[in-house]
Amino acid sequence: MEWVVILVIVLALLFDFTNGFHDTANAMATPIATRALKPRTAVALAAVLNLVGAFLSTHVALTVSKGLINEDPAGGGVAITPEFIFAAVLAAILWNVTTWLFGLPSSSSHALFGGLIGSALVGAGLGAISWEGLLDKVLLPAVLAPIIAGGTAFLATRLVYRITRRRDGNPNGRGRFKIAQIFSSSLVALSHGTNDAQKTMGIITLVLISAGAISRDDGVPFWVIATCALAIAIGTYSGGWRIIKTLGTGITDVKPAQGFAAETSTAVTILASSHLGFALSTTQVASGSVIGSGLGRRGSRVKWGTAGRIATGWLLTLPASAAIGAAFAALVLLGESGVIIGTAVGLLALAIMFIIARRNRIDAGNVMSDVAEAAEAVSLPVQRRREAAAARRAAAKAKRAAAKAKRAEQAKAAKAKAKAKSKAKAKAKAKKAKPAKPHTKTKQPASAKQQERGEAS
Amino acid sequence: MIDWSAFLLVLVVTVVASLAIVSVVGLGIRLLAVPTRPGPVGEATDEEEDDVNHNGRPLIATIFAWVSFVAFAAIVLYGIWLIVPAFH
Repeated sequence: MEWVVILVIVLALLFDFTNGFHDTANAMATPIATRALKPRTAVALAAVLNLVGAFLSTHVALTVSKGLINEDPAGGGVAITPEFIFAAVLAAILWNVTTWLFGLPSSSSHALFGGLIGSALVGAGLGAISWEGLLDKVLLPAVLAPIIAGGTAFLATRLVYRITRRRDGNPNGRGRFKIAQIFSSSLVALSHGTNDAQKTMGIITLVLISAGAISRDDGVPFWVIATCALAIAIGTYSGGWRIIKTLGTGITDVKPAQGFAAETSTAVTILASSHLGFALSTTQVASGSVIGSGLGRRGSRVKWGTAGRIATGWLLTLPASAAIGAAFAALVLLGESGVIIGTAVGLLALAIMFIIARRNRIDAGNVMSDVAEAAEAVSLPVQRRREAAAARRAAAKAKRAAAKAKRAEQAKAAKAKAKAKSKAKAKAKAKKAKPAKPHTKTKQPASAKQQERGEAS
Repeated sequence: MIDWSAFLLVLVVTVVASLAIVSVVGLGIRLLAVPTRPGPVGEATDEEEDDVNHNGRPLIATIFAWVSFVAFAAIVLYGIWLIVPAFH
């Protein structure tokens, strides 16, 4: 079954590519939006830093290859076969494509782990999974890291505004944080490489171990590191063009000083976690930071509806991708034909994804990055003022319209009244005058008209 | 056994390093905004103000601003040095 191993490697690299493709916006959207960097430069910088980041360490890769799936009780490799890893990667890719199509917030990392859990459960039962490793290195970091990043971003934002505040009314120069953001964004791109590229390395290493190509105690082979680094860098670079084309749609009210604080917290959290082998979702950490820093600005509030929707997407990813992973694993149990059917389904999904990406459909779902979406979960006084002003304008307009309608109605009523009055008067007068002075008949309507005009105005 | 000390380490490192970075960069940017003569005072004292008064900043402020930026670079490079096994 060597070809299954090759298939898994190819699929895993594809997964890595889509990960980079998806996540460029997280790091580089701000410096492009603030014009601190030219789009071309920003995207190239992000790609290079992802490449470099992937080479920095292998702790996360070892977590994936060693920490999640138990050793085979029969000795040697791991408790699952390459076919089930294939099912896991396929499930992760499918889940990513689906959430991307529907614009749901999701985490590609959790999709990968979910797929692996579901597949291993079907393929080898409860005993195949190292539940402790899963809790310690994946689940707890998934909950704690965004909170840590958010809390830090909150403090950092408060601090940065306090340090740069001026009381004498002179300009405080906070616009210079645009330049500082070049560096903080670069750090985010670097940290992305250290965490996300390594998950793919871990999967490829895991499949090599399960096929018996390398032993469990070997590290990550160098060619695996190099290909994963390249795949994520190319993905980042090609994903960038999408942002450039659609620039201006996903820009939120994140200010340079605030953005710097948020990005610094993101980068430090991810780098520290990567060093300890925590495989976390970089998107979730970045989202946590953006929300935390939004709350650090004066007078901001959380929009619980938006925040809840994002959190639901996060919670859903793991069980949903586990279910898909389990389904594919069941398919794989059929034997080689199952693997072939699975490949066909996966290729079809990817083809659909690329056709739609090519068509360049622009809507909130695929243009805005998940992190930019997270920023929407905080409402700022500026936004509220703007909304209130818009509401006031609308109300004033409605009032004016209503007043106008009222005036018109009044005028109409008056007109009708005057007409009726004058008619009655004319009639009465005509009745009175008729026998005596028939020639006044022509004069009467004119005076009635005059009277009517006077009343109407 | 859940290794809580690892999480504590991530928390402490994140808070300390982030606040240190933000402080030195904020300080540097604040120092670059030091004017000697009172510059044009805008009536809007918004939290975001792009114009920086260039009317003769004291040399000492510029120097310390750059010291702050160098400190920022040092913190970042030290952090990366810490996590790359190849350097140890």
